[in-house]
Amino acid sequence: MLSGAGISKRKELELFGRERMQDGQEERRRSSSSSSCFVKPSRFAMEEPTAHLYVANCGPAVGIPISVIRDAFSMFGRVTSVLQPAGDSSGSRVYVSYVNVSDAIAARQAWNGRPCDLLQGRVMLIQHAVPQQQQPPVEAQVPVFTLTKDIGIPGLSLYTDFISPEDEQELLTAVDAEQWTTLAKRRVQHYGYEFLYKTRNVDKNQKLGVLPLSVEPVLSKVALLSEMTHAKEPSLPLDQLTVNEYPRGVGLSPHIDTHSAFEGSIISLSLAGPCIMEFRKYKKKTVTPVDEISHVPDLQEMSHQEDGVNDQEVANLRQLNMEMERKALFLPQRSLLIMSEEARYAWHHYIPHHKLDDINGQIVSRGPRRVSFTFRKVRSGPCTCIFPEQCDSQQPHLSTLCPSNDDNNSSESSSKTVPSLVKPFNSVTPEIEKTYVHKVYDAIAPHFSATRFAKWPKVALFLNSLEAGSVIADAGCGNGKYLGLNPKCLFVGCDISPPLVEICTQQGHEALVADALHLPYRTGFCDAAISIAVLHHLSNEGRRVRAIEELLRVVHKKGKVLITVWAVEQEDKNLLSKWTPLTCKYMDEWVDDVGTKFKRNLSTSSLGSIKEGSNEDLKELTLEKDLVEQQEYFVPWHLPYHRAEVGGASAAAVASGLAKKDDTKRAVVYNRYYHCFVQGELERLVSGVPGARIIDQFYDKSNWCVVIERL
Amino acid sequence: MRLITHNMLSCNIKGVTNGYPLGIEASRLETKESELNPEFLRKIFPKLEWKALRDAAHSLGLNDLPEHVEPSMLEDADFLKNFHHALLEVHLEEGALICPETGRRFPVTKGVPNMLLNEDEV
Repeated sequence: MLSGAGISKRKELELFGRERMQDGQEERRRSSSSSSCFVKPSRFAMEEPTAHLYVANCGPAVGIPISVIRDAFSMFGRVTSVLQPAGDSSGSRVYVSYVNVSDAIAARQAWNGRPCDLLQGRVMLIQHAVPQQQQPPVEAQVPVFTLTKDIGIPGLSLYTDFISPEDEQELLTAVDAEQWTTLAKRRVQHYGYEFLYKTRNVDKNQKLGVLPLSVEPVLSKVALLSEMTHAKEPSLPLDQLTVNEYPRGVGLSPHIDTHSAFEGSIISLSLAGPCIMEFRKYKKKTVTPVDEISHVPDLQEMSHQEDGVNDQEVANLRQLNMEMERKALFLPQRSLLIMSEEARYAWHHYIPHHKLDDINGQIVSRGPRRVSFTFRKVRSGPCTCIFPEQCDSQQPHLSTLCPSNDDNNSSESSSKTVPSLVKPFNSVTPEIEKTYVHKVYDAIAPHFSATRFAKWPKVALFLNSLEAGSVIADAGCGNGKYLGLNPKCLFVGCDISPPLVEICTQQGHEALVADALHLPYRTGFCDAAISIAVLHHLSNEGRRVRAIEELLRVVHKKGKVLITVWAVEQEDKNLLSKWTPLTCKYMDEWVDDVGTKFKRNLSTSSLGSIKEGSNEDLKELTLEKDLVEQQEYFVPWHLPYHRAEVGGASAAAVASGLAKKDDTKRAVVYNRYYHCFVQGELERLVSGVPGARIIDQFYDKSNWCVVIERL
Repeated sequence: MRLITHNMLSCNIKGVTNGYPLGIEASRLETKESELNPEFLRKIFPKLEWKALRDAAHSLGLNDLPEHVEPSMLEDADFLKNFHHALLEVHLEEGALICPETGRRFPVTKGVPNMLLNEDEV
């Protein structure tokens, strides 16, 4: 069966002609050396024509080399540069600069929103851009290697053309005849042992059987490789196989295969289509293993946002690039990848969610699908590798952490029942809440407090309805504006932000620092609890449900709980336009359950109708907007320059990229993360909590509200 | 932080079965007078863990609370005064709260207990 090509290890790829390769490299140098220092004007700003154009839906990633773009745009006048945005690895946006403003205006008038014959009929979105000052370049581009000898990651080997096209076809036919398990983004089959996404491990007592006959020839060939015969740690016999089918554009979240699950090498055969695989290793332990496993941000996706690359993302990219080493390897169709030792134990591997891969300037399209056969050996004892920081055998708490978003989504959507939409409660606070909720409130606390004094009549009504002598817990009390509202009751407030709690105590209120998901109160002590504008800061459903459970836990039987959250259905529609919707890419990485929802909608309704073609990117943008009601937002907080806080915490926040300065508004602008609730959502969450009975629910002043009684 | 709050606080570290009541380490106390409200005291009395309150008061040097109580005492003016004082007028400003099972210390600074748990405690 495997009669075709012999082992051509580290064979130079002949995908590209030498000349073209050099061209590509030259273009890359040109564009990165002078770093693109522009900003695209905001959608809402008046456009002042400039000599520079921001051109979207055009670039190397959509098959148009920089040199071709330059030639095309030169028909309107002298072009001084064609650059790719700093920090943007999408390759589908460029900045075109003219000597004369009039030439730029002419080019925009001619081509904005219309098919351009000179550029393969693409429809470009063109806006004037302004040069930006003092923007240091960001090296967002990850070098892509084609040979493992060049990549410099110990333990990594790649065999190209490991099997013949005929053998490839036989293997694909064999797996396609079997039952696939459909996950959120991809389909899988497990052999030998089932890989359990919830634990990221296998159940060693549940052997499914031997590996299928169809892979025997691959196994025999693998067994002869020097990596196997001279392995420091035995990898044979390979007794676990996971077959993954990735549709075009689907990748894999960054992860390290659980150390305690498998020993020896991990061997992966790429069939049906190519992709690039990125490897990441943290330079120093600034990111805890917890973060590494559950929240490695997807840098490439971060730069894909519709609004282009903002300062925030550039700052994030810069910081993360400082923290980790990133290298990518091109995995051609029919190649075999072996990850051993350091490559297997210490490097995260990751497949970007792209349809086109940029191999150092050459654009390689992924096939309609890629099918990988990953062979592993189930480990018998604990792992004793020399990378304890990544090792769950040596650091047992690592094994109890939540799985990566990617796999979590998958396991969830594979079950059919509605309650499974609620993610298992993740006790570790997600990065998005730490950064875009906790840090922000800490930084803006005094200003927030100075502007938050109006008491909401509905909350006052609830508090005043309580019996004299009631004990009321305010979980997420902020600056404590409701503490003491009913003077006949005793209030105890808590908030996760120490500066806000300090403000409460300065006002003479009883308050403490605590997390609404882990209230430090004994069960059933309180007569009532309130959660005012808190749940919308929690970034997944499991956490929102957990917060409701905690509120109910701390009140006694017949005790009452009032919950209010922001509604998607805002009375002032203009507000929505001032908020930044999180793109689906952001949500995929950070706001897990919504990512699933988005994917599901996309795959069931419209994915099939997207035609490959020149307007593909534009269509995708439209789809994003139309398909799901946007619930995830960054809501800005403007901290005026005259506030005292601007000098201290905010200076640091600006420096670190958490906040940015807006000179026209004379304010430091922070983004706060919000999950806005849709009609019926709060009711649905509450109904799923045992022991809760809804006694009132209403919409008021752009909030969804519910009053619950504990049964 | 007052002892009324202490009476409701519990250490909810994952796996802890006996996180109540928290021990108190006091390095600074403050007394802030407040109006005595017999109705409120009578209302709150049945909710309280008396032993926890009495032991906590004791650890702060407040020795006027009796070991055993019964509802009829709530009619006694002297008892109400001592009860009110211990429960609502004495503030722990600096110190720590200590989990009885694990010994975990929750610091109290400027009157604010920090009850946040670490990631490995949830």
